[in-house]
Amino acid sequence: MKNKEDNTDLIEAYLNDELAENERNDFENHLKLDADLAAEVALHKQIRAFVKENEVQNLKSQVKDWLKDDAHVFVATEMKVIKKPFFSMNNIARIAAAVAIVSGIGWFYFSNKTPEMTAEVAQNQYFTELLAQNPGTLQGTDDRSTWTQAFREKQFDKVIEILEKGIDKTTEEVYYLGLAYSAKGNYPKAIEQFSTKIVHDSVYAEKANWAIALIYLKQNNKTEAKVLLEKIAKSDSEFSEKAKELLK
Amino acid sequence: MNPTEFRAFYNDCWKYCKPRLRNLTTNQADIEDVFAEAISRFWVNAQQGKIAHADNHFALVYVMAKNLWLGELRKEKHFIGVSIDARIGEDFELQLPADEQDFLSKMIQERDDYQQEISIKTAWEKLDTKCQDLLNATIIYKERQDELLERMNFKNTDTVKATKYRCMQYLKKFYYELAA
Repeated sequence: MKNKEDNTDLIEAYLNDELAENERNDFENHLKLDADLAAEVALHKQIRAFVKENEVQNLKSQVKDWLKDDAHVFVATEMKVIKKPFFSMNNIARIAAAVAIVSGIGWFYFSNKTPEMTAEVAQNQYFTELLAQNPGTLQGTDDRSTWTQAFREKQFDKVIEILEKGIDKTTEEVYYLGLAYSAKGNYPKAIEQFSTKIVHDSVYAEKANWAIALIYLKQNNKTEAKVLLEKIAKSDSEFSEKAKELLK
Repeated sequence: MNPTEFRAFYNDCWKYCKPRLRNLTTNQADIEDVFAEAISRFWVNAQQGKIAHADNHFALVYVMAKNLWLGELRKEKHFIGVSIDARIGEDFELQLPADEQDFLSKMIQERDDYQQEISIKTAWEKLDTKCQDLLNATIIYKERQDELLERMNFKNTDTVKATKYRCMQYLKKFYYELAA
């Protein structure tokens, strides 16, 4: 048997099941007789178990970041939509918006309740929420850092310019390109992005369907909106309750 | 590892598992935790060639997540009035092959057996990131020497082999120093 210093490759080959049968038998016979070698093999096993567990924990942390990125938007935006009008009314536009919302709510409670008006208030609120989403802050390429920052700063033209240049867009990029077009009022281009297969086969599928439904409402395309909202309402989508509200 | 490949797998797998996990519990934090753990364990085991069945991967991740969640319930005993066995029986649509059932049992056993080896962890943290990356790539992802040569800018395959050997020697040396 080789000296202890030289055993690393042999042990690794043994643990990787890369030894020929006779070599393996020879090695296992040595293992029975050489306590030091057996201890070294045990250490290699422990190291491999550690490396594996360490990688599992790294991946788990990565997945949790992705899950957080996918989920945080709606909690955050709902808080913002509810609280902002009461705490940050420092300009005329905001006051006007608040008055409009309050009037809408008051009108809802104190006059004849027409479904159209309820839906309109909710629709505007949901559309604002839709555009208030931000991409996650995970590290990525330089391009990703640039467009995500531009998105957070509401520089939607810049986002469109950067993302339209990309050839192999990720699902995230296509989805946020759709949002950027929505923010600019270019609804056909927005729907084009949200309707791509890559988005519909991804975790963004529910959000994309919801965005398309809201855009149809913006375009006053009630027929298409109703079909899609009914589909969302029947699904287990996170937007099903909101879709039901809009269908009232 | 190819991060894009893992991200794509995550996207589709989450879409499959989310509604099913929601049937088990409405606690979003629990759902995310068991899903993240399950998909990560699945992925690492798959890279090591330990997943036998080729076309049932999402279902396998779901069953792993469910088992992890049930394991937590058993440990914490915070469930009220719900029979765990009854819940297991609800998965009528998932009849996994015997080899994958074995894999699941081993995975759970492996997880339970694993005890944090402080000395190995400390020794690992003393390695430079290139060594960590190289050992990860060879032990878990089974990257070939020519792939490592290109990805990690080695001069030739002999250098890859020598560096891997040196990294493992360093790790063992650090471990023995700490254990002494």
